[in-house]
Amino acid sequence: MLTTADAAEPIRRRFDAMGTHIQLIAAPGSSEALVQRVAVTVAHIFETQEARFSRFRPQSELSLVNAKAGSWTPISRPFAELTGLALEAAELTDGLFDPTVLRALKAAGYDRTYAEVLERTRSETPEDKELAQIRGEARALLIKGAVTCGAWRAIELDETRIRLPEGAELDFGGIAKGWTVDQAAKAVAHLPWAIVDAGGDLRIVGQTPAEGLDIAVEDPEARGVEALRLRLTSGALATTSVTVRSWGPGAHHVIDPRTSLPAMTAVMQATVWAETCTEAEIWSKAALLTGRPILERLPASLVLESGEIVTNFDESHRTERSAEQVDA
Amino acid sequence: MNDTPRAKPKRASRRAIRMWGWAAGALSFLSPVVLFGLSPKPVQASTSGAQAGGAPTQRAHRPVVLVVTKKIIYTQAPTTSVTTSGSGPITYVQAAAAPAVAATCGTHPC
Repeated sequence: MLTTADAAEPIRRRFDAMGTHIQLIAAPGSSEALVQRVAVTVAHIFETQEARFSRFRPQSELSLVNAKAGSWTPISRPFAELTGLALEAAELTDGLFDPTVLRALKAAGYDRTYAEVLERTRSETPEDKELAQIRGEARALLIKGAVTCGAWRAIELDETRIRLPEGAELDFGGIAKGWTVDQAAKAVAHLPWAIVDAGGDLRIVGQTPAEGLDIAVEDPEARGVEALRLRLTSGALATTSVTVRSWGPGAHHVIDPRTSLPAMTAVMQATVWAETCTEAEIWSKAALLTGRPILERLPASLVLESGEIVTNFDESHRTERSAEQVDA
Repeated sequence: MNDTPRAKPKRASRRAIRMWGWAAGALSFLSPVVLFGLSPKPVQASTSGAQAGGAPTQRAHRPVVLVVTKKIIYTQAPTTSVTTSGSGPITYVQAAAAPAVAATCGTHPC
């Protein structure tokens, strides 16, 4: 359902899709009717792509492709496009971004929607938790013996069909969300400026105010608290964190393809800027797994377990202070 | 010179020695009990300092407040980047009065 915010602020329309809140944020003063029309289009884009790429829908194109692993399966053009991007990303990141982590993700406990995973965790009795821990350890040992990730190297793809290696399963995860944000961004071009925000993965479109738009980076240890304020005029931001979508100690949704286990890293959260949300999504995951060396390759900020934020985003105040000094 | 022999000190009778022995034994036996009885007692946990007659000995309960402070370390932006031709049209700000337009947090509603 779409909702409206205060008229004095940027105009906002919200709805839920892909397991998160989607927001269209339009420049103050934009035509309400236009924003409403654009929001309906954006909602339709998200619903269409969720129906295509959701692993929780048995009739989604993704579920059908996974069910037919080992044989050639016809696919739609968007499916071929996103799969191509995912395989390209896997090459670029040396496998740190891996679209075939689904089996490892299920083994780690994310075998149903996140809301259901949380509900199961809450309803467990202490005895069940103990049992779950034992099961988890056994599972970890099994996975260590047979790493399930890396199957992307054996995927065969052309424009109209795909063949997954037997036993492999695709899961686009965040990249599907980022790619859908990019698709939706094309639909908001008529607005003076706008942000398409999918649960914090966002893209700015149009001519923003010269000083830029402020985006808060949430503290991974304190929900609702800002750890860093960013200011940007274009492009996309994506954040990957091990503290969200987490259902127990060491159990979270970021799988390290090198171990097939939830990542154990000194980086709690990585935020990456890129020209598209798809790229930002891919590289935020790679940044989380790489750590500080990624800052030599792309614009990013990392929140470390030590309580520090390491960033190569320049500081706005430096420029502002310099200007004040010149004026004085 | 006086050759008168010195009178030997009078030996205590067996009965007297026995009595002194009993007295010393009883004293050593009872002294810890007496010392413990006279020593100051700790305030009962259920008794407030005021009721015990002295200054409060228990500190008032103070909630522990976690203050999240993160140090920002700036590193040089890369001259060439895999996601953009430069460092990107993005900066960070140390303090801001107005609320941010949006937030990024990592795959959950934020």
